[in-house]
Amino acid sequence: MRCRARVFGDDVTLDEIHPSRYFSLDPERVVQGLMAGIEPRFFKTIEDGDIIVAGRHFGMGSGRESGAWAIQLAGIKVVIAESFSRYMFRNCVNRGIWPLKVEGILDKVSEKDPLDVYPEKGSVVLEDGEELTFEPFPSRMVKIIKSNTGAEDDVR
Amino acid sequence: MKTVSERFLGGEEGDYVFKEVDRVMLHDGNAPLLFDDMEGEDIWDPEKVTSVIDHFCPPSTVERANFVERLREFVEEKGIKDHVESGGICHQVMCEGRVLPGELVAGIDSHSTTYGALGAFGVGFGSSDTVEILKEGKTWFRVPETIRVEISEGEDGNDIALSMLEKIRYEANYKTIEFVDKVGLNMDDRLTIANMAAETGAKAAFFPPDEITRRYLQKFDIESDVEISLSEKERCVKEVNISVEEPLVAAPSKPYNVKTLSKVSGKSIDQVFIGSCASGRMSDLRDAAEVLESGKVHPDVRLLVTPASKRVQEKALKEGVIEKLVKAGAVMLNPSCGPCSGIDKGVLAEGETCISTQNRNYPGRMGKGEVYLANAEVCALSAVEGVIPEEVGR
Repeated sequence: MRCRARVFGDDVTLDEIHPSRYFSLDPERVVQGLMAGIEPRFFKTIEDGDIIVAGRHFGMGSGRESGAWAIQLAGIKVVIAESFSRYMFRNCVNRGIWPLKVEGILDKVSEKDPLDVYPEKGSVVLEDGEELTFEPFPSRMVKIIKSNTGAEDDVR
Repeated sequence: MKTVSERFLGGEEGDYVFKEVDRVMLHDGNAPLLFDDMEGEDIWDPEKVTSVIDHFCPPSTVERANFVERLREFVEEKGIKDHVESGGICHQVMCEGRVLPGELVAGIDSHSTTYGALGAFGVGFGSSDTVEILKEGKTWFRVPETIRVEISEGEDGNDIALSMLEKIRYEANYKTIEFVDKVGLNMDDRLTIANMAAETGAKAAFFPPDEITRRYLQKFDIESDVEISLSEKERCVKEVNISVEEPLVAAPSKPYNVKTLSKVSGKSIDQVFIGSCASGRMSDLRDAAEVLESGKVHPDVRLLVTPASKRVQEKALKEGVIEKLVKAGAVMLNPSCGPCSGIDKGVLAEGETCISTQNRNYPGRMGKGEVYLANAEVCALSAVEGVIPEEVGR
């Protein structure tokens, strides 16, 4: 999967990923809140193939699933982080988003860098050809992620 | 010997297991996301589900009023009998005669760790996971490792929790925290500590049920003889000792950005909040009232107080605690989540500062301003002085 990295730092909290004022059942409203605690108009800048890259503890704090839903609605299929909060990890799986735990990713990827991601193989190939690997998901989890992926969810 | 987590979930540390839950908590803040997925589906056992309206209580926009109305329809349609509206914050409501020691409880909220104060195993879930739990009565868990926290000195739940956060930071992610209470803390303080364990990333927090638990449950006419001992030391991946000698404050904007009171004293305050699922219990309200008995709220400060539940509110009324707070200039809000997550009355303007007894001070948590976290006494004194005080009179 050919992707473009949208890079955030360590300790990105759910209150920043999706501020509570965007809590809604209206998909248009929900997607507007994506990353609004850090970059208010982030959702406007998303292009096909964009993925989120972050450091440690992505999604710490609240368990509100509207965060993962906003990522899904924006058409983002992959989040790579050094580590995830338990809630963000489970919510991503349930929303058909691959939460990939890749050590050292933040040091090696800059904003808008292209990269190739092979979620099932457990591999990320950077622009210069360097390959970073991670432990692939058990088949049961792959099945859950795939069954929850829906192209029609992209409302950008 | 099995760890506490292995006993509750089955399997061995690191295993993925499917496990039946004993009880489920739903609230209006997250349940709206599961209505569509539950369309036409039955709940495996509606008797085991409690629904609480506490986030949008009462609702401040038409959209939120619609969420609340849909939740009322949902509980009616699905046969959920235990529906609580305007009765208090979900976790407090669950700990007032519902959750029992030894139960595995799934809550649709990250602060479901609170139930560990009663010797239960409370785990939070998002809405999609909760759909599966409501349909099947079970879900998958990874059996977590254990961190042991020994509390050897300290008087206040918020201070002990902040000390725990300073020492563990977010390193309990995916783990269970077990507490060794050498102080004999009252249940209010245990509830605060188990609640704030969520900020370490912990999947669950656990106080073994003891005489204090049994006496607390007797107030709700519950007799429990469940005994669950702590995991052996050798099975813990980390051990932490907590000994708190002076009040602590978490500065913006992480709960583990902890300082001693004197390091942040003098900071000018616009709003004070005493409430949230981390506080607002009798001991917190009494602490605040004691400070405010001999002082008035500073003219430049707004003091907002939310009792954790209707039961707490009634008790505080009867004891004269609320009278003291109101006479001193406090604004009493109804038992609910209130301003804690910036979804109800009491959000901050840009550049404003709040000191609060709540559990989170992440950027944007309470609107645009910054939030400090402290115990009820420090918060009440901040309301009187208009700045974070140098010391408290304990």
